[in-house]
Amino acid sequence: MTVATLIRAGQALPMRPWPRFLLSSEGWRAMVAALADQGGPAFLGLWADAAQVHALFLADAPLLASAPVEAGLYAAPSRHRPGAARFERMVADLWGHVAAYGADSRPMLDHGHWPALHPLSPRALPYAGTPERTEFLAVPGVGQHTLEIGPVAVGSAGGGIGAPVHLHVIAAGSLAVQLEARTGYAHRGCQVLLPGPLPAGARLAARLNGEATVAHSTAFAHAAEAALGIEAPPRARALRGIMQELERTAIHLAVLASVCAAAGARAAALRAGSAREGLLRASAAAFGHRLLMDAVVPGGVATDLAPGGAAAILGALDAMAAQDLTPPAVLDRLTGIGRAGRVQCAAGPAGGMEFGSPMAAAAPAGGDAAARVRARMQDLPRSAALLRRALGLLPPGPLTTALPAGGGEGLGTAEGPHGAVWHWLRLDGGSVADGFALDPAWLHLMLAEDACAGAALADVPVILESVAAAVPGMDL
Amino acid sequence: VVDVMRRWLPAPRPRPDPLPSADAEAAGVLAARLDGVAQVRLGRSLALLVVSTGGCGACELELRMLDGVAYGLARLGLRFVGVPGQADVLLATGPLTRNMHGALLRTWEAMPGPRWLVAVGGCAIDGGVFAGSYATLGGIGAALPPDLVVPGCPPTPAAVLAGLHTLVAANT
Repeated sequence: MTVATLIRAGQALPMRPWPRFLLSSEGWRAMVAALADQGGPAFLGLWADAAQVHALFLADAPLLASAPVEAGLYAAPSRHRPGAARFERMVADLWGHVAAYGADSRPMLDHGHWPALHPLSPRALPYAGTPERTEFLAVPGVGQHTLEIGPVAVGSAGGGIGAPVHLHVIAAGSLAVQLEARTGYAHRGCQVLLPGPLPAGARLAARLNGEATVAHSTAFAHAAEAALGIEAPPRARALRGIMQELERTAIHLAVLASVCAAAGARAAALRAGSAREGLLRASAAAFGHRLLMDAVVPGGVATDLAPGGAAAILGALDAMAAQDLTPPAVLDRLTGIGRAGRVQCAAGPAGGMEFGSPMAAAAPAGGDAAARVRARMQDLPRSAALLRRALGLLPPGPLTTALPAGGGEGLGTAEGPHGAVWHWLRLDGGSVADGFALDPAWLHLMLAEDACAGAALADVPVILESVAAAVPGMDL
Repeated sequence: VVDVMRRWLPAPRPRPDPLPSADAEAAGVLAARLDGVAQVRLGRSLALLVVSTGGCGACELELRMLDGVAYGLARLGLRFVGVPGQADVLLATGPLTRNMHGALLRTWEAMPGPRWLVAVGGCAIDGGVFAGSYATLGGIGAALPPDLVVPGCPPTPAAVLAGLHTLVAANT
């Protein structure tokens, strides 16, 4: 039986717009065993609550499978989907549920500094131990040396301004044999902060990953609206689309600027940065915030398009189109380096998680750094065309729908600048009872590690910028 | 002919924004904290090190813009560095997660001094939306007292530049 059939054989729970399937422990084990068949659905993510684990797959529709945790154990999807390993480590750190026969059982988010072990478990243990040294994965071989980078000043662009992450590089001569990222430095405890009033939850969702704030706000709003059985008004939906395309374009330009800076093309980096600055100013003129934070709220949008906003956006798009943002020398520098092959298998054959849907076709499996940058570049005119059309066809009407004080479960998604983001929410009496946010950073980090293995040390910074894994999105 | 020439001539160069003015009162307070040695050693040139203490990444996105054409950080004699041993100013973003507490302290200790600490963004000031969880300490003040705070979520590059201009003004 296929994975999808096994999941759909479970008890369908009323989640909107797609049901959630509650499996027995046996059903979950059969599902994990069936993942060995490479024809199965793409694995998107794994999370938990006090009593259950939840795994999200994407077949022709999203499939959310849940199963009870029995005796603190559940069968590990990472046996057949390596991309699940980091999720299992997160679940173990936060809830204490152990993935039986998992690929990796080392702590990830828990560095030994929290006041409690398993802080989200009802049986959280007060903890005042001493943090242990992290064990990194070893590679057999002689004559190796290691490089430790971070968690301060990681990233080559502008003197290392980026999210905190520790890169452990095992090198032989001038080649990086293996790169492993230690994460969790930006773990803020979002899961414990999420339950509460819906507006506060939306503000938190907007700050899960600053590089995809509109996407996360929109996915959160979609999940909340699905749970409550309402829909945002047409004008709000159109404005959300405009904001998403603005964010996507501005982040593509930021990635391009960082790649160019890492590749030593200072002039090209400045040009991309200028185009980005123009878009951010247009966003501020149109919606009152450069990064559009908190502009999308459950039920609609917080601000209407300001008078003159459309003209500002069109002006910024014209200025961007007038520049040559794809220097051939930079693409030459990126060609043939940072090729990743393992990750597509990790996500499953249908897993376009290297980038989200529109770009997945442009960045094929096994693409090099140039292919990743080219995918973003090809996305720019598409986004610009969408923006021009949406601004011309903006429907009139209200900006928000009233939120009923109901309850229910919802799953929402939105296309972000780095790929699709997903939000699962359980509402109770109009407030958030539980939820989880899934960011593409989970798989991008794995892609970054994969793409750096075997690369020249001098290429590693450029490769990392071409992948652009936004670590705060997975540090929760 | 004009069309051909226009195609080959470079596009008009984008000009930097006018500098935001320094906060005179804060500059006075900061100047009072400096001794003559610091002024001789540093003059108007300050090296900036950004330490993300675990925010969402939006502050870092905006800080990266400072080095671009519009804000022209170098006009003030400022530059980003990647090593604490070369840094005069530590720009801290994020709510100070417990997992970054040690790294922030070690980075600060590695800065030779005279040195300044700037809290960039609402999270670094009071923890922002992340205050109150088991994993955060509610702003960098829990570890070290900041000399200057730049509010905003995230602060605009212009606001950060105004804050840094204040530091430079105090320094001359």
